Amino acid sequence: MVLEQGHAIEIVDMPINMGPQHPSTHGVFRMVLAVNGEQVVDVTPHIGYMHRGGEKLMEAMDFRQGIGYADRTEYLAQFHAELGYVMAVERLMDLKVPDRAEYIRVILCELNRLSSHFMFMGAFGIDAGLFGTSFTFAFVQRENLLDLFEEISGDRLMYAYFRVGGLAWEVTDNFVQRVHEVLKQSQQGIRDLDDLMTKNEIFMGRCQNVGAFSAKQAIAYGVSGPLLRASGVPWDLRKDEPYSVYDRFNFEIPVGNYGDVYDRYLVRLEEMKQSIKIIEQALEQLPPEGPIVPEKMPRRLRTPPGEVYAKVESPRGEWGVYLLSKGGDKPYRLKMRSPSFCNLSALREMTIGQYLADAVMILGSMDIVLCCVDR
Amino acid sequence: MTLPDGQDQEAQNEAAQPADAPPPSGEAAAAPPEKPAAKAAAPRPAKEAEPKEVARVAPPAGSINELLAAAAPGVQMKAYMVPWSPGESVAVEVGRDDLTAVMTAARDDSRLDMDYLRCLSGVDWQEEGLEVVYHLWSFTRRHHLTVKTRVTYADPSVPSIAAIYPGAEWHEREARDMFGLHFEGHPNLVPLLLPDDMTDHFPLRKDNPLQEIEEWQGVNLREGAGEGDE
Amino acid sequence: MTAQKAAPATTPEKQVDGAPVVAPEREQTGIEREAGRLTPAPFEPGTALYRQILPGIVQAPADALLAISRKASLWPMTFGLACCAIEMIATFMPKHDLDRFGIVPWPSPRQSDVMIVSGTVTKKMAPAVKLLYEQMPNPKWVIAMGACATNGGPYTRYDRVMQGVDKIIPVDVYIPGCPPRPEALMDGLLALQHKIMEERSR
Repeated sequence: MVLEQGHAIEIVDMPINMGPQHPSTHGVFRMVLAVNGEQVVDVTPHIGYMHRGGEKLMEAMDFRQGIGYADRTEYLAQFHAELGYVMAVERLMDLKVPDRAEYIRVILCELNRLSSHFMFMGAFGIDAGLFGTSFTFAFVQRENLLDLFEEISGDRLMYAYFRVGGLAWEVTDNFVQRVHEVLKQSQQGIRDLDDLMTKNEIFMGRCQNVGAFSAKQAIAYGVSGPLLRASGVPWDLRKDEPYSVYDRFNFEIPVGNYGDVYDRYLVRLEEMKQSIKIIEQALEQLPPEGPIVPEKMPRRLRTPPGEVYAKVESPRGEWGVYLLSKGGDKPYRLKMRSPSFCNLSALREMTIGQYLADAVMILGSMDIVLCCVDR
Repeated sequence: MTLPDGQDQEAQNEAAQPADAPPPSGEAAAAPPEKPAAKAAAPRPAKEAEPKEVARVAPPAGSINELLAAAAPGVQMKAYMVPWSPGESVAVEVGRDDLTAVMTAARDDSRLDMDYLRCLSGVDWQEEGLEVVYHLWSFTRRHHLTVKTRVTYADPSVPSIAAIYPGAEWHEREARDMFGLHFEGHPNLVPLLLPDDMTDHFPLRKDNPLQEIEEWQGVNLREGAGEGDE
Repeated sequence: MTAQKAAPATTPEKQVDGAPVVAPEREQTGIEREAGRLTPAPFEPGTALYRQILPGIVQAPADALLAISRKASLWPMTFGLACCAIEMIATFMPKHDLDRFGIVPWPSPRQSDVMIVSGTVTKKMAPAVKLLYEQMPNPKWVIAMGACATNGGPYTRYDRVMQGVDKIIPVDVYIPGCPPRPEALMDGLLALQHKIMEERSR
């Protein structure tokens, strides 16, 4: 393009760098967007800023030490990460976990799903523009849940409470009553967030018809969890490949229609309500007394040589642990199939053609945890 | 300490000490019944592949490997059971050059209909080379399949399946970063997780052990550190 | 910016090494004139004017006033890296409120006082951390929150993890924990306030 004075102008698509540190912080994630006006033409995600070698370190740890690393990899759904890991080892060692331990595991996992989805509601509200309100509501609820987890396991965030074969120690005496209290508070919290966001005109305007992703694309990219269900695929590992005692409960799987950001939000909101249903049923069915580790618990945790792929339905999707053992008390190869990694690989496909402001919403709706992406 | 040494020491300790009462009974009860040979072979330090060979059980008739053999004719494959995964998953080992044909057949054949790539991981088997493990799943038919392929250190090149399963793109980039596997035909094989200036040695290979703590923290324990004002 | 792109490149003889060159035949724009006028003032710490007037009499109360105003309104940059970020956010939230100390999280490095490095710093992230530290204006402080920022933490044996953020930037307060409780982070920030008051005469 040439102006009157004869100077030449070169027109390039401006690359916008959403650098590793940005206010809509979902962790250290960097996106370079090439935009044409307001429309995104290309997205290059750069990850690896949190690559800490969790898999390599877990190869050097035995099966009890590795639980702490599983916690720190998925730091919002810690019980699910621990469950995947101990389930893999239990399958290799062919250990049968006693019922009481299984029920307590399910209750804690579902409470963890609640706390993770509350965090999503808070952070997503900030992305949408509710600066602070949704976050504050969400964290009040999270604090209740974290207090309960601290009473049971001793730590607010990194529990390391599950062990191969069951649990580390017995829960507190007033466990059932405390869980009922926390459920009541959480139900109020869900109602608050629902009132704040679901029928909010601005929120709906920002979320509907944004980032629509079809079922076929989602399956091809290996997407799982609420993203897959929002795209219309009725797939939930708790129902379709049940593990632990999930086949004894009565609950529904919310499935979306359009696969856009609003559907993902609605799916997660409904999942929270279904989680409460599962917890209530589990509390009724919980055996009041019983062992929490199997009687023939081996003193040294050694697995026979073999391989196993154990998967759980974490709040983000399918958390899989591919454990390959050559005998001994350490894994030979431990691969953590992280749901955020696979979901994030579909980011480019979802964002091209959308507006720049929507790129933030799409990233927020994927609910990624960067330590899980980079391991 | 690299893993073979670690295994050796453990195995020697196990062989040297008399086993006390609870572990053998616990372990014998815990080990699956059809693998006493594998258990006896486990303490042996050398030839770690042997326990695995002994433990391999052929899948029963009518398993998915027969469907795969029908869908991809002329492909050499070795099939065995992986009984620890639920659903009695079948694993199939194919040669590197047949991989694209097998994957395309798995996705397109209507009896298999494997549309979901669950997981792609690399494994470092040291003397026996590098291996890539693919876990596939079909939503419509509800069956698993594990496909494995093995390459040598000298020629760590595997055909890329990113064109067949788009989700494999990032998994393959990660496997390249961690193991040094080269995926031919990959659209964008650049480092994903590693910093750009540290992509030459591959972390998850067994000849890259973790650093000992004293060696790194020795930098902080120098004379006079922590005593001064700053 | 488009105007600068349109300027024809000068011939090599006229170019000064490293300095941006403006074509001589074009008139300077307003912003270029301003940039030419603004030279960074040389600054020696401890030589401010108020310290030279009646030394000792004006200086002590002035220093105390400056230190109190700096410590009572610390604005941390929201630099959450990993798991510790969740506890940092929880500390800002109503249960363990930090706003009552004047501590308001601020996303931009240009207007913040303290950088709370919460999480593991990897070698890939290190240049970004250094750049963000350089972008903060003086006076600035750094808090290393958690075991990973202190010395690499549980991931210290991996060679792509930086063994502590004090390898690249100077740290004022270290808070141990994995992750440290919100009360521990509050304690660390109050310790930083104490440090600011203690160092007021420097």
